[in-house]
Amino acid sequence: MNSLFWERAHGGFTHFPIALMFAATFFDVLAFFWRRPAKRRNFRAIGYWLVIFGALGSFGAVFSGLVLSKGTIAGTGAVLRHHLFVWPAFALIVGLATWRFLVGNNPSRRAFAVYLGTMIVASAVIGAAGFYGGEMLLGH
Amino acid sequence: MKKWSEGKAFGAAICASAAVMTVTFGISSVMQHAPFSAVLTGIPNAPAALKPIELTPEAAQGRHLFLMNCAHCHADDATGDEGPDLHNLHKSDARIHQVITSGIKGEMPSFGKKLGDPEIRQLTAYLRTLNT
Repeated sequence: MNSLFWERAHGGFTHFPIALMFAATFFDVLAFFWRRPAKRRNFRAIGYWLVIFGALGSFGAVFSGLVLSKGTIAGTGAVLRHHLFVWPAFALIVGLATWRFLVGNNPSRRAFAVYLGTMIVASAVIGAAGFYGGEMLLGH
Repeated sequence: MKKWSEGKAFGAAICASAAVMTVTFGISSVMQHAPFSAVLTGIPNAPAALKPIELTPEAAQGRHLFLMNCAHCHADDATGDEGPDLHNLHKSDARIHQVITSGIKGEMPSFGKKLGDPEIRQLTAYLRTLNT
């Protein structure tokens, strides 16, 4: 295994948490505003599994990134900008997925609203982390 | 599985998040040690920090540009990582300008759209300070 392997692994892994968290937020928003209870339950169930798989995927993304950067937490320049968003995003993903897993698929509407607001913030932070990660390769 | 109350689950989520971040940062500090990261990436770690030197304003600006654009591949101290060591470059200013502007196919991206002539001159001035 060389650095090229980890570069490719990181590039592959990172798309899972990004896509899954965006999709989870989308379906949770639908679940929050949808009027029909049956559909609302379905959307919530989709959001539930997406956020859990997104959190599981984030471990692979973070580990491959750490190996690639030789354990750099902050770094400089483009790497620093990427990391400034990565660590809050990772903490939010893990926290949100843990809460959702423990509470299950039927939280109260108020708690779900707070969760949803945090999911939207987390998605924005993850998007920024992904953007600055891409900038390292393509931003020229 | 028995469901948790929302407040209790919130506390557990904070704890899980803190625990995961602590473990992650712990792993990162282990990875920073030379043998481990060198084995995983196949790249030898950079030698110890080089002696600091006085920089002209142009070279200092070049160093800033280097850290923002180049350090990701050439390492913070320019001793090489993904990209080669940039100390003691035996290339003309024009060749350095061309490589930065056009890149090297399959090896280095082009920076022509990102960095103008003045920035490339500053970068070159900084690279010249790396001659020992």
